[in-house]
Amino acid sequence: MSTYPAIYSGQHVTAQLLSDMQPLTIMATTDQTVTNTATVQNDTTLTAPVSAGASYLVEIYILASSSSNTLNQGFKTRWSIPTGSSGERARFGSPNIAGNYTSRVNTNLQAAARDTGTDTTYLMTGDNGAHAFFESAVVLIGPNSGNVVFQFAQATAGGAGTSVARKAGSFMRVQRIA
Amino acid sequence: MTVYPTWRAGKKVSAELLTEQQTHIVIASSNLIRSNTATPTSDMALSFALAVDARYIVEAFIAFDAVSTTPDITVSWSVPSGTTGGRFCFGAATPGSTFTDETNGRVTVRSQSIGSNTNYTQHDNPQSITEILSLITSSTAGNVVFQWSQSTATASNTTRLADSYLRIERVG
Amino acid sequence: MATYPTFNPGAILRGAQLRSMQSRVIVCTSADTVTDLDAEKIDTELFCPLGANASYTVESMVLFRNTVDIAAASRWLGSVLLAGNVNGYMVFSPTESESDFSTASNTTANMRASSSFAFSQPRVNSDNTNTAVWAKFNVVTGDVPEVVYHSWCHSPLGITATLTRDAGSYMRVTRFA
Repeated sequence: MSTYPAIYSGQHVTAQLLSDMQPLTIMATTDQTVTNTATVQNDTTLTAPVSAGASYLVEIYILASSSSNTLNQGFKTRWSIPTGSSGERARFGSPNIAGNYTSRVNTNLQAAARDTGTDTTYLMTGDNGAHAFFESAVVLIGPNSGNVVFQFAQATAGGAGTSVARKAGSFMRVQRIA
Repeated sequence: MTVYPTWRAGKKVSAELLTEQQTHIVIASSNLIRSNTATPTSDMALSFALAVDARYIVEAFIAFDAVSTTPDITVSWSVPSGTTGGRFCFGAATPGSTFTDETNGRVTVRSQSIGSNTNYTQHDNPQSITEILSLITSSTAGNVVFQWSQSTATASNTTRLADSYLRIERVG
Repeated sequence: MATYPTFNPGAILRGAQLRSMQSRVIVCTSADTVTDLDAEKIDTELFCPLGANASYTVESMVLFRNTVDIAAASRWLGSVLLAGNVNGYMVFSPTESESDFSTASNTTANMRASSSFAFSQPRVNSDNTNTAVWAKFNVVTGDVPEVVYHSWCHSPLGITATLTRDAGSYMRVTRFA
């Protein structure tokens, strides 16, 4: 069982102690667009610093859209974490296989998990609006401090003028637990 | 990247600020039954007062039950004027989709405007939805309030079940 | 609206109060397995002690995987109270239907809710990759301290199979009254 920080009776209550108790929330207030590529790019907003040797519960809620009505040009995600760190990333969203997706309100579900550094693909089309995804993991940071960074791209590069967008309103919550 | 409140050395630790830092849980203690209505109205058991010029994450875990598979449900939110943000809708697929029962059905995974309707298929057994709001309030005070109705007005009852709850954190 | 604890102006601030504000996160650091099991087993890591006369929300993310076509049986219980005191159970996971489950990346869903028991049987990938089960519920304890815990096995019982509850599964416990 983890709480961070550890608080003892008689301990001096400091600003640092109270700050350490707080989860960090990063809220995107503008869209970010990635154009014509299946190579994941760093989200310039959804990134959080993490300390060596620590553990964090990281939750990322994404609103995403595609410019293309071609299903397999959907949305690809990955997390970048410091070298030597690990985490198993649960994910909930539209499926990664065509045939059971009609629209964002009529689709099979993807409810699975894989390590943070492996790509996940969500099918979507541009003609039925922004989709919602949820990803979470407990990330164990190794010997290197750094950042947990949300990354995204098209699942398949769609050619000039095609893109995917991580929409405003998406957010990331990072709670240190050890 | 935000936290609330922001602690700095020398800042007075007040009961009010510590309360602001806490996770707030709003839990419905009893069932709420509606029938013959397809216009979402406020469910005041699931509401929370928001400060002006602030940021919040509101997570709603809501369970419904129904006597019939006809009415389905429609969900919306009321927030103070000028509030912006994102809304995440996770639940059963829209009415008319492939859906067997609460353990076997297609889903909705969509964004929606905060004050607009989202329709979910509802079986005649207890079934849940999850909606998340990331809110930025403006200069008008007020409450965030969960709203719901049947999708098809039907004489048989639809129930928002007790133990449905909101989890609210002020983050800015 | 509820928060715990209640802070009153002018009152002495105690370490126990600050600890009570903190959500507790329990993370599985190791995978665990059941093989050919005929009864649920208590999870070796997914459990949390609770105080008496208190109310908590519990959010869980349990990861399962195996190598044959079966389901997981996933249940939440209290050690002292009857199962009914695990209230308002809501799950979002792959379906319980074998015929409508392809993989955990492409499945109909289980969106079960229950006011009387916290139990579901989602289908699990047979390719040894993880299925995720996202469940939420509340616990109201009685006059004695309590332990809320995950109880699980493969479903159906009594078959030749090995099911893994994977490392990285977690539960977050927040006291609100």
